[in-house]
Amino acid sequence: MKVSDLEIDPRIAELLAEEGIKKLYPPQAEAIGPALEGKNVVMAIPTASGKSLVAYLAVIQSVLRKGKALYIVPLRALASEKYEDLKAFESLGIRVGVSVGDYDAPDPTLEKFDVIIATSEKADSLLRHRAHWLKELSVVVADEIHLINDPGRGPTLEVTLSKLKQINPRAQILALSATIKNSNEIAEWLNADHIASDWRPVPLKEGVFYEGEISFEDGTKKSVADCGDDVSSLVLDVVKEGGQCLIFVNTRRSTEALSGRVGMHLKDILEPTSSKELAMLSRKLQSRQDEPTSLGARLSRRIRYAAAFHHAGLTNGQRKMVEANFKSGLVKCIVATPTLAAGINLPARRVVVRDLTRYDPNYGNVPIPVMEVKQMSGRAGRPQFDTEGEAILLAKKPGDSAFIMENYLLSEPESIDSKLGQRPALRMHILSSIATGHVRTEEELKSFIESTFFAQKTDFWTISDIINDVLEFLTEEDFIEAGEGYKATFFGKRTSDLYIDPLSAVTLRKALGGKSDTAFAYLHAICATPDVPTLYLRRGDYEWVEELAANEEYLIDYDDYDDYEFFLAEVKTAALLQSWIEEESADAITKRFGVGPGDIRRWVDMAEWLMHSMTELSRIFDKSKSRTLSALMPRIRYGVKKELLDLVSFRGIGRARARSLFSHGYKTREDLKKADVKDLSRLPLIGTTIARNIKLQLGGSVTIEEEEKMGGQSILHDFQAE
Amino acid sequence: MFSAKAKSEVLREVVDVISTLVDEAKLNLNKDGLSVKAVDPAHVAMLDLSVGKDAFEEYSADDQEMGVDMDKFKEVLKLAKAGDIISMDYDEEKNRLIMSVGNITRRMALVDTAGMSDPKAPNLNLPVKVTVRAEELRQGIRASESVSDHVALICSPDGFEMTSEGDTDSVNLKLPKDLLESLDCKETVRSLFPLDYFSNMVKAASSAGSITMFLGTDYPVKMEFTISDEKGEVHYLLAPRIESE
Repeated sequence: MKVSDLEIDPRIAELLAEEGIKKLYPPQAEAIGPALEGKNVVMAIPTASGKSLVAYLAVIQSVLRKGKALYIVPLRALASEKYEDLKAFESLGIRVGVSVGDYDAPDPTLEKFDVIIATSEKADSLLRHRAHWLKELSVVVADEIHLINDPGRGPTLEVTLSKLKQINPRAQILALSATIKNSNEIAEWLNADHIASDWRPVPLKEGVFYEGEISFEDGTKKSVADCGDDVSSLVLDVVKEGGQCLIFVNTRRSTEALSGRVGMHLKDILEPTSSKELAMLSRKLQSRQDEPTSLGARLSRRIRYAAAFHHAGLTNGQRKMVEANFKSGLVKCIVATPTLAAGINLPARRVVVRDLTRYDPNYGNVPIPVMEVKQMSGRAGRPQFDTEGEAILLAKKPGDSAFIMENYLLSEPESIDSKLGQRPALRMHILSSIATGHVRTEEELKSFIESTFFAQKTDFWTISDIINDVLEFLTEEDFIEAGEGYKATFFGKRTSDLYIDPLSAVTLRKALGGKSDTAFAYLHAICATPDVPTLYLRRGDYEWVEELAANEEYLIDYDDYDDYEFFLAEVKTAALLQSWIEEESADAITKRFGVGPGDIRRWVDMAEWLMHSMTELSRIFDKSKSRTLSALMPRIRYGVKKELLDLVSFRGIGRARARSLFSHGYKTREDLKKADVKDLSRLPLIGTTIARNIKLQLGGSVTIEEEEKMGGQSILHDFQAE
Repeated sequence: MFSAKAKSEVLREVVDVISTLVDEAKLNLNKDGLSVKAVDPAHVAMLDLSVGKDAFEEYSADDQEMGVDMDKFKEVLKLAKAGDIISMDYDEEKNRLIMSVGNITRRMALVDTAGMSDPKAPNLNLPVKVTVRAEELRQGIRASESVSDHVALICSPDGFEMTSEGDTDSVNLKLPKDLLESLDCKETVRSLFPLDYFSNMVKAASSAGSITMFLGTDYPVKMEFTISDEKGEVHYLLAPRIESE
């Protein structure tokens, strides 16, 4: 179907033509009609076959008719991707905004946007804050709706959509899904047209690799030159032909080890020009770290030979750098954990899935679901670059080939299920429904549950026992008052607004009644909530964690625990945060706690959030603690001792730079005002750009002469650990 | 224990090499001689110096560290003429260095070395090695100093070049291959350096006949030369300026 045949605003058609989009893919053509008519649509088609474009067109069309759209994405990284895409339409007068941050605020600035992109958690929190523009929405897009299946985050997406359906039944819903077995059930739930297709813009060939040979699903075979290592052979094979390779393995450690091995083979076939660029990139990765860590150094070493690793322990900056340079073609191979497959769009000609099992602490090694393997395989084939994509699963011993062929290549992906029937999800979402006034009576609660995907597949009464338990819990703990109907208490409303698990609120309330007033006691209290996952205890940890545990004070005492292990795990987690605010280096923390720099960031974000919640709750339960608590917040955010708080308030000054300034006698804003730019620029970690930035933020200016003098001096540290 | 005697010019060279980068230094002493590793406060340059005991008239030392204020050391050296012998003894009890020149004795308080760790040199992969007569470099620097604050060091298989671009004027020193002591260069490399640092480093090589430089593109330069009649060895590292794109 040609774009020019579409019944869309001519301005949209023109813009599409400028972008070079003249024809629609078959599944797009099928979906676009109902989408533009304003019908609800569920599109279950493979990645990269153009789901988003259909959603964009419907959104733009609706907005040009004075509508307003909410675009729900599962990850922050995807929010910025969508934002970049939709900004292309700003010339039509459409204002696009992103909302991913702070959950405890209604964010009034959002109202002025025509298209609002939000994560499902943020959308849920907007509902809780009763943002009134939600009722004015004309379109709601739910990206990656199959994630309803995710036990952690699925219920939030499901509840958000259910509520939106209830408060604003006129809004059109467009749900985008990977190919799943029961996408028709989702369509039924959303009362939507169902478009399902296996069509891909780049055909996909799937196969199994064993002993130097790929056996494809269609019966063809291809032999691969052996370089001594199976995966490396597969990488070399495709890179020599000008392609790229994505490899999925099941542990972070494997990503790092394997990318090193692959690099050793790749380095011999790199072109001199790319070698040079890679060396530069490698240096950049090393020197652009906020704080150098050994993981950063390893990544920098790997990328030199065009093979990178990618897992959740990387910082955002590192991940983006790896992704961008893979897209540009410089990096030839990424070895990743499966999280990459759920994330951003990063196709490669060949995808290798090395591990088909995964370690589960409860069950040992368990097979990876077909759906996930299909997600990974789906990344094969880069539109415009490749004529076909190859997804190759690795067989490790004789007999595996047949098993893999049968169970993965020739199997359909599993059905997805609602995960709303579980207690933590119900606890959280029932409270928020009552707190926002969405549910006021037993009748309304029932009708709300029945509007969910869960009720689509399961009878309401099968979970009525759990629901009664949850209501009892909420009443006993003072979140709601059960009189004639349900009504939230102030505590209940605040808990819902703060976006924490009610059980966390109970723990925090208890902690606020305690006597200790040490930073560690507070940190431990937030680590004792279910909202903060705890670190694993490794064998070598017990001794030092137990010793630490014995020497600290607590607000939540270990007498309250059935299981001492849990307590120790919380103590270890609190110790990580404590080290962070005592300015232990990121590298030392990653080594001592067995985490990556990206993990530190994640825990810090969670801790900051919970500390904020505790501060807010202290205003209800013990005002005298508010001050200590609110003083801890910025220390957690920046990872500094109190004395650096003045310095870290500057843009571009993190804790390492602040410490450098402080130890050279620049301790306050005043000191910096008096300082000479040239002196500042010579300090370790500061350099010219930062020095200039500080001066500009102080309202000063830098003379051209001063700037000339400093121009671009690097420091030796930039070249460390090559 | 540390006790040594040395000609004043030998010590002067050592002090010049160190004070180019730092005001205070930690001398690492052992029975074979002394060594210093230091990085300047701006972290732009690094020094690795070792002087063998043969450079001294007399020398004996146990393994120990000594924190020295270079300005004080210079004050003592100013009292001596070339050829004068300066003697040094460590007073453990008072943590002082006792230096005598002729009839004068200076008891010099030492600096606490607790905060002075040995910097770790980055492990650089520098593709080009060139050895230039020191006098040529000194001449080039003299010519550049009035023109600009920085200097580009360029090396190609044909030879070595040093250029300084000012707003209006420029200076270029060109040494074709046959005027070089040695050249090992397969590709053309170019890096830009702050002239003040480079100049001070070259000037510290006052008695060296030639200076060997290891170079890359937009990469630090490593300089090597000898002092104290080839009994001392100096390695400097200097970070480049990165020209904006």
